[in-house]
Amino acid sequence: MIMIKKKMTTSARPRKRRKPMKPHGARAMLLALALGGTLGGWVGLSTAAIRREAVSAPAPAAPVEIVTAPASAAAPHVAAVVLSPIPTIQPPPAQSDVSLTTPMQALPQSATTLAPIPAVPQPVIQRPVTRTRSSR
Amino acid sequence: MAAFASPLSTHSRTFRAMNCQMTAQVCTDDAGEARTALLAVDRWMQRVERELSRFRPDSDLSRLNAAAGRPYRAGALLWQVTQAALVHAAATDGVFDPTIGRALVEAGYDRSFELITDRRDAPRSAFSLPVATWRDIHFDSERRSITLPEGVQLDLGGIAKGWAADRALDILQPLGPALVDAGGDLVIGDPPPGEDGWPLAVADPLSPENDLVFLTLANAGLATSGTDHRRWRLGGRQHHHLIDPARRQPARTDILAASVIAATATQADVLALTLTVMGSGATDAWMTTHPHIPALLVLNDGRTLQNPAFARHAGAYFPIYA
Repeated sequence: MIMIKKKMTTSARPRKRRKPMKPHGARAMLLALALGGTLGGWVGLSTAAIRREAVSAPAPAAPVEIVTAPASAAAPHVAAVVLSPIPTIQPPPAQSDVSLTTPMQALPQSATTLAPIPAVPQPVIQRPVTRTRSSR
Repeated sequence: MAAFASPLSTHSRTFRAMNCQMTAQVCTDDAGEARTALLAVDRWMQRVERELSRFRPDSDLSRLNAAAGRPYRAGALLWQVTQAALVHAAATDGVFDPTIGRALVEAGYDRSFELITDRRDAPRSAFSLPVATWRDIHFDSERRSITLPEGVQLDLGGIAKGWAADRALDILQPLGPALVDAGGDLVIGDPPPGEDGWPLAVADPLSPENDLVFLTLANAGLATSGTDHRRWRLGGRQHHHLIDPARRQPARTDILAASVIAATATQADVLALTLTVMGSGATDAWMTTHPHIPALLVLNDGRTLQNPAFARHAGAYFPIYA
């Protein structure tokens, strides 16, 4: 696997801020709708998204150094990933103490009792305050 | 204009007058009438400034001060406010006294506050001894003339905003629930529909962007007086605008700001000033004889004090500096 690492230089110009990219999912959905929702449309969409990514990637302003990652860190080939089946969620046994329908138990009373917060009358109408002060 | 979600829309207008930012609000469905009434409040406040400002040589008050020693036929507005000032001077046993205009000038408050700059090189203020008090002002009701004792100048800064706010509420109330904020002196009318009152707060004088207390009030006045804002340096000394009438100098007080709830903005304005001038010791004694008047104090050392009457109004109280 090849990793690209930027080399920091003190003379490097500040990079222009990239416009935040729209989420690919949203872009994909829009484009898919435009293409009629066909499979070909989805293919066209992913291509367009990749192309957009390539176009919007900034030109490297700073020198880049290509580093080869150590062999042990190499990721497995994508094709080798096998999705494991999602385990079936078993409902709890009928006599279980824990049940979604079991009412919540009251918390044990603490020795410290919080005093109720006194109600503060709030004016219905916010009117600016007029101030008295020595003449000015 | 601003509108809030309410059975009746709330309309508001913010403007500057008397060197303060002011806001008037009214709840009504009639946007046109609301606009007209709010504009009338704006014009009313401008008129009060025009006629009662010490810093406008053509104001009615300046003409009265210039005529000290002889009768001056006052306009209706000056007449009413001066009479109200003397009623409150009597009620506070002279701690509030409008005859402190000269002391303010001698302290350096001789121009609009935003024009006052720290004058370190200026000579120290030389304060005159009191030549007369509020008791020496003479009124002639038939001719509507006021006679100030020679050498006396009136300053109505301690009452004019609150008094003007109360009259402004009279303009808005026929339309619906209303509130007037005259630079921090508030007068509150009926509560908005479905509400207990208007949401209010007392700003923290040590951290004005924060609030000390939140209140909900209706049909009341709420005012704050303090030395936290209108202060300056003159000849190496710190001065502020709250004059102790007994000494005719800026009050030596340990109160940074006092807030008072009263029936009207006029009363709240005068009482807040009175407490600040008295200081916490005299105010403490005063509160025992006036337990029904809600008051909140912030001392220079950051402590906040409130009497039970104020605590009953406060929805939440955060003694940040306790």
